[in-house]
Amino acid sequence: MKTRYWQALVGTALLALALPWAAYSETNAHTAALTAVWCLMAMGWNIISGFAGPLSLGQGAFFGLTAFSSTVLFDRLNLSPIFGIMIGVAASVVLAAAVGLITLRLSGLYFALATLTVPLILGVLTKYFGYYEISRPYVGESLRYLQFDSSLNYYLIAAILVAIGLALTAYLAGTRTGRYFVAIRENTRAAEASGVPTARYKLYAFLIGAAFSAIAGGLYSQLAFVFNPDDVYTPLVSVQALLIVLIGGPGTVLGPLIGALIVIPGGELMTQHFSQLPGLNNLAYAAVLLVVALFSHGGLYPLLEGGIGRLFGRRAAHIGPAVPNARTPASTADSRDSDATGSTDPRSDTGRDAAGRAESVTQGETR
Amino acid sequence: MVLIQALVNGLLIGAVWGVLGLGKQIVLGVIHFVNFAHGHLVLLGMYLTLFAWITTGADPFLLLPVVAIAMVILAFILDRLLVRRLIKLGERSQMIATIALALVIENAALLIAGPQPRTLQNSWSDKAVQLGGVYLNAGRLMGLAIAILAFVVTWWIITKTPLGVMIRATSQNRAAAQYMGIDIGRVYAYAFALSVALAGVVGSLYVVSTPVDPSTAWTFLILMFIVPVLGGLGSIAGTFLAGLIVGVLQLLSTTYFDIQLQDALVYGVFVLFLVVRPQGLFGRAADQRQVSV
Amino acid sequence: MTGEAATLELEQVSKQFGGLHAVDGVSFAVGEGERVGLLGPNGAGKTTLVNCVTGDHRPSGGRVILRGRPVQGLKPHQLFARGLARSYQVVNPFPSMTVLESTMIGALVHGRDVSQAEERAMEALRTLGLAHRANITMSQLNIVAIKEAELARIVASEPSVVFLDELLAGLRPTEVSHLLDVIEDICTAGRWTVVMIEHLIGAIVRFCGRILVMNEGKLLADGSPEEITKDARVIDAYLGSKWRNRA
Repeated sequence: MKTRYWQALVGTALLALALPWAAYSETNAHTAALTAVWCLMAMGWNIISGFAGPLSLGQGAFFGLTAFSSTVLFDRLNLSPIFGIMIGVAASVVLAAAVGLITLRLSGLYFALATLTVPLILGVLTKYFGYYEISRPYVGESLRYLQFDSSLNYYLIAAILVAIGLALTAYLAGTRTGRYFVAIRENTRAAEASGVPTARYKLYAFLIGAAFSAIAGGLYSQLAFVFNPDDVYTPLVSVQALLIVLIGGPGTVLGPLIGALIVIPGGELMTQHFSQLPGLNNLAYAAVLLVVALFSHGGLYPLLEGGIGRLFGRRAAHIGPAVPNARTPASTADSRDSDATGSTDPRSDTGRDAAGRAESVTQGETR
Repeated sequence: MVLIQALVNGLLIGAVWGVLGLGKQIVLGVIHFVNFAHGHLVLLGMYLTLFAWITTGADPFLLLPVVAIAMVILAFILDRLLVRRLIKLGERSQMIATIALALVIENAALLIAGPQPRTLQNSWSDKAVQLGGVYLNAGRLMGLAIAILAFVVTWWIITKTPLGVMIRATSQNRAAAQYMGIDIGRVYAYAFALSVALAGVVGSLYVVSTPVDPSTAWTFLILMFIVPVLGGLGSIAGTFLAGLIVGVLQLLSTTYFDIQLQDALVYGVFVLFLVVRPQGLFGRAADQRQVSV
Repeated sequence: MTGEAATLELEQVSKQFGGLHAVDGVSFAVGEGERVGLLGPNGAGKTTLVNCVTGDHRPSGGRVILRGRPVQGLKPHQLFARGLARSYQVVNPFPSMTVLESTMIGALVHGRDVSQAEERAMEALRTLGLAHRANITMSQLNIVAIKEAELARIVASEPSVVFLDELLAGLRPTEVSHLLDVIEDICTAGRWTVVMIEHLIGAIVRFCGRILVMNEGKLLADGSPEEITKDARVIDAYLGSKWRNRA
């Protein structure tokens, strides 16, 4: 139970440890700030798709909406981006409620595709109404307008929000709501039959996730200085969030941070070193992803967890999904499409033996 | 007359979207492989056609079989390196890996061909046929003919050949097919090759009338999912019809609203369809496919 | 039926799929603490009937009355909260959860307090003699252990009416008799009203005081095990001629 709070503490410590590195140069500070912002974005995706299950490819909608509100309201109405972000978060939650009520009852692929279209529609409409390339008015160093000469300040703000986000995620994971999310992800039908109001809790997860992603979008637009619908409403924004979490470890508290710490500085480093040849940096980035997808499909966090567990000679508490594609006889027997393992007899000898062995091993471990 | 012109142009481009959806349909509906890189394979087809045309100067439609064969060879390589493993690993890994593959293709294109849009200027581009006041672009008309041919050939492969029987058996019940002695790995390899070849065909058809740059691939991202889902997973006829519908919708909104709203209308109709009739036009069982995370 | 009000009552429950009448006007009542067996050949509509009662399907017609209140059309989670639980024919676990975590999901129906739910779940596991498995991940369990863990999830929710859909299907004879002992104990302790669907007639005869027989969507017979095994219609429709000769 307490491992979750440990994860939040470890995460906060990592953020603090990064501070001297971030303070070393403006480039570092910018990278650190971007990392924290993308971590927040990834946390949003982690709540809906990592914890609760439904695969959202539309987190970019909330990211973009708040980037839009914080920049445009500042530019047109001279409203502080702080309020702009708050308005954006509120609007995102409302949008998420509308989208979620319509689409969350769709199954896997269909929900993913429906959400994929949301940021694209927003992008088209934004451009249609003439909002593109909107720069943030320059007011000089001002906390009130979230404008700083050094990116370090952005890092501090974003890092504090990430720390809060970690604590919230850790708290959430321990509550009934968090348990229900995991139950829905693991087996929606069984969850429903065990008293989980699955439709309602999926919506909760979607709303919470939308709020996280919205805050990230607001901060991102402060770092970017310019609002451009093509930058924030592209599917790549949602994909970035998904990749960060999948690399870090979905359904874990620390996963988004670990993923962001690898993906964002890694990407920036490549950009700095290979900027003469356009494409090469992203090519290397994509190649790394490909390798990760093929060889560590549970994310890095479970590997770390396993390592730490072995280090201290105890069984690591299991929070996140096991190997997500582990085909247990049990999980496949339920799947309605008749794929290879789905229709095999769950009582086949191999399954029984493997299970029996696993049981005896774990029993031997009990002290 | 404007309406008819829009409808006709919509049908012409829609036929290409039909083939796009068909290639996707085979991997999604038949071998249950979630391929986010399909649009980027189309991009590859576009560049292959373009470079073959630059090198040889031959008619792009004559180059099409060459491109298709090159794509088939690529498909077998990809199958060995990636697809085979990914099918075992499950949908989540498939998603990350194919997104990564998409980025690899896009950035390789950026590295080799550069960011500037390139146009295939050929004899087909400017020729038009007039038919009772309606202008038909000759390149697009040829595209329609080839699209229909691609559909007929695919339909023939799936329904009439032994390979097709194996593909259909595998798609319905993988385990049973295996017990019947069907080599699942080979069936997947051939089905994937067919899908990639169709992506190449789309690339060849599209590049004749549209400039290509590395980011072009993302315009296919949604369309390639919309068309098979709209048509109904597993339905070849539905896919063709869905492609035509999408094309007509695009052209209608371009003609009557604003070119910028073109995609919004398509997405809107798609979401509406998902909610009202998730099994698609010709789909049999609705929520049979689950993508789990 | 005794004179007092039934715990669960079905009135003309029907379910159609297209033109197929999977369940066709089934009515019966189950009294408090009663154990009813539901028999019938494959495709008789037993599971569809259960699905209509537990909210997995919405009945096309008829009423389901739980403790005097109509509940047809409610969602499974709403019925679960009212004390109506079920097990599934095919195991339906949460693969990455531990047995304890999975059991807690059932216990959480009583309130949002997680530590209280944990105690309740632990209690249920002890009742079933599964406490030693509390921290084992579900995906590592074999089929019998998964069925037991799913039973624990139901026990932890402290239900009043329980549908057991082929809980014993596919088990070895020794496993069947073990699990049946376990169910016998918890039913008595928890004062459950049970509807048991099973192909193993021996188990039904041993466990249930009353048997319902379904065939082709309709209720064919309703009576004590002795009556049912002698009913000519039932024997013809389901048990086959061998039984008639033996009886």
